[in-house]
Amino acid sequence: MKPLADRLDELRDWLARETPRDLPYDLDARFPRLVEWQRKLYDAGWLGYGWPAEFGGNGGGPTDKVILSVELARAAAPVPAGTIGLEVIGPTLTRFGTDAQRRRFLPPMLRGDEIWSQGFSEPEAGSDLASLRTRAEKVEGGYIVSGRKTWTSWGQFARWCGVLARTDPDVPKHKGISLLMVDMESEGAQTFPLVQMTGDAEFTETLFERVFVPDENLVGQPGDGWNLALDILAHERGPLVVRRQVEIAVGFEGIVENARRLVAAGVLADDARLRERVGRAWAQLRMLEAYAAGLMGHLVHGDLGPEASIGKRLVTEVEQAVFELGFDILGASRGLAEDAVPGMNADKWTRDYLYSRAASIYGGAAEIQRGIIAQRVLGLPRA
Amino acid sequence: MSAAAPDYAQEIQRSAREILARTASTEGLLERLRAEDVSRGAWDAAAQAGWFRLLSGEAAGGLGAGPAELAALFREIGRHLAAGPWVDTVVAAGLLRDHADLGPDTALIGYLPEPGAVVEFAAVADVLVVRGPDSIGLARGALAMPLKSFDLAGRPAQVDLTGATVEAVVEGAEAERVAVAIARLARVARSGELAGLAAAALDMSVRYAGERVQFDRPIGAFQAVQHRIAEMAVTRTAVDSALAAIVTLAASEGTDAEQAALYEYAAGEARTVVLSALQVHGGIGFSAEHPLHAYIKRVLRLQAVAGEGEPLLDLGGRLLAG
Repeated sequence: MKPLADRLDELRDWLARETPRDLPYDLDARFPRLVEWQRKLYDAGWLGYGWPAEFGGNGGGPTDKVILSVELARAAAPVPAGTIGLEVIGPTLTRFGTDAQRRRFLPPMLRGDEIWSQGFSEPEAGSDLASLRTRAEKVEGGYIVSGRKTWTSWGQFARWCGVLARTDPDVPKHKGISLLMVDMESEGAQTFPLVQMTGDAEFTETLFERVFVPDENLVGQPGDGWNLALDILAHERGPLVVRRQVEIAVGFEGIVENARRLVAAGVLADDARLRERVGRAWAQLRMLEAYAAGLMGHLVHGDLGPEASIGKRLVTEVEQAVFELGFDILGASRGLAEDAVPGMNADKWTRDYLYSRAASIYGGAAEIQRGIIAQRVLGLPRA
Repeated sequence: MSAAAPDYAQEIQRSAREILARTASTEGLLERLRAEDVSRGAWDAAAQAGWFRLLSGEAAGGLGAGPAELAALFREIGRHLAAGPWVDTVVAAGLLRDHADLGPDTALIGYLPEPGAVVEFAAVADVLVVRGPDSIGLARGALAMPLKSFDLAGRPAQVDLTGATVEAVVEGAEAERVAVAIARLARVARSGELAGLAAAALDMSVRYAGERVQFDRPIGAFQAVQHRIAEMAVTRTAVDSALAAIVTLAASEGTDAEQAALYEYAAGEARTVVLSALQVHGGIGFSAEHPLHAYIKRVLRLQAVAGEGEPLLDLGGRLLAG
């Protein structure tokens, strides 16, 4: 198989031809189309890059997955349905799972036949993740899991959930946590949609009432959960920055185009304030693009540590500035879900703006990132 | 623009760091800056190391390096706050040595890009290079009038060309090409200096926050201080990344408007970093006996000297015009 980096023209042509352009906004109607899209990407041979050949992938290097996500973003193509599996659980199984686990779980994960969610956060354990209360009690042949998870992305569609649960309540809180793969078709597992301020319900609350999980669905050793979670979070930050940077740049182009439309319609003044903000957003994006180019080198060498938190802060800052601009130029239509000027797309830009405000909360809040940077990158003393 | 190997920039950085640590130590920084206009030890060592021919072609005995190497060198000059007409001598003179004899490598060079511009170290320069309407030439008999400045590492002066003679060394289209290259690479150099100053301010702040004890603990253990310093590291990274983008634009002949806009952005971010450093240092940072103010004032001047027009605003206008 030729390396993905040598097939970029082919990939771009394929994406230009095959990217679905008519996806419904409604999530329940949209989701099956995203599954279909993932299958198409996989069957065409693109999605397997960066995954071990013996478990359904095409082999290839660590940056192949990032290259694919960047090209998807550049083509304004939708993110495949199984993104949590592809970006979070899959890489963890690749590195820390057993061969039997990889054989069982990776192929259907790649093809979109089984969708995954991630059960980390809880109502009482957000930033302080190590205080999680979900229990996994050891029984003959497995564990009994009981507890409540929240902000479970795509939870209502997931067949499997990677759950952090406390297997040992008698050791310090970071040490008694394990990562279990829970079949959401099991008795006692339930999800409840959680509507966000954007009006979408991408998340669920997920309830486990004495759910049995067999031993073979434990990832790593009992008590490895916290270190696995840290590893997962650190590893998703680098690729997220690289992909998000392209998505924001695509958003910015749409914002400039919209600004021209609004200026032409006479509802937006082409004044110094607007120009300065557009120029500054452009500069921030070029800065971020250069940062992401440097990051790719670290992803190749796999030597990205806590400094990924600096990237998370940078991408968040730029994302929030850019989408705030996209919102503010709507002027009197800010916050409307219908258009006063045809084509202004007030609904989309309001939604994008609101969504950008979550960027400093998810994947480790800005305050958590600052703590990591201060203590683990700069070596300042712990309080 | 550069045919140099990618690790050439790293080599330049290593060598510059070693030379400047020896010749322009930041121990006793204020004494050094007060004692001499130009950091002479560093200047002579730089001439010996070939820095002033970094950009010159091989025919002129140069290293033929490009923007990445230039950025690496100036980051160290900024970090050490070495004083001297570095930008004009390395960039303007470095490019002109392919066309003219500018004297020994140790010569101090000033470059006047347009009439009325403020030129650093013009009053002590051995050679004054002038951009005219259709040529670049060497001026004799120009009058340089020093301007007092808060910046300890620059010696700005206004240049009066009345009564001076200018001997053209490059003319016509070639002069235009060289002038554009000087402007672009000077922006790379100044951005590098900004990145070095921001890095130094961050390092000083981390060190100080670990040493300064209040309420029975180092102030760096307080979350309010930690978060401020963490954001400094983020903003410092923005300066570095903007520098990388400026280097890329210089190497790819990107438009001047884009490069100028990125410079304005980088300078603003560097200013945020050094002002945060002041806050971390508290009262001692505001005292003239502490070296921090030298870094702050240098950043403020670097933000001002390339502040021709309003590049971010202009670029935004272009983007909106489509």
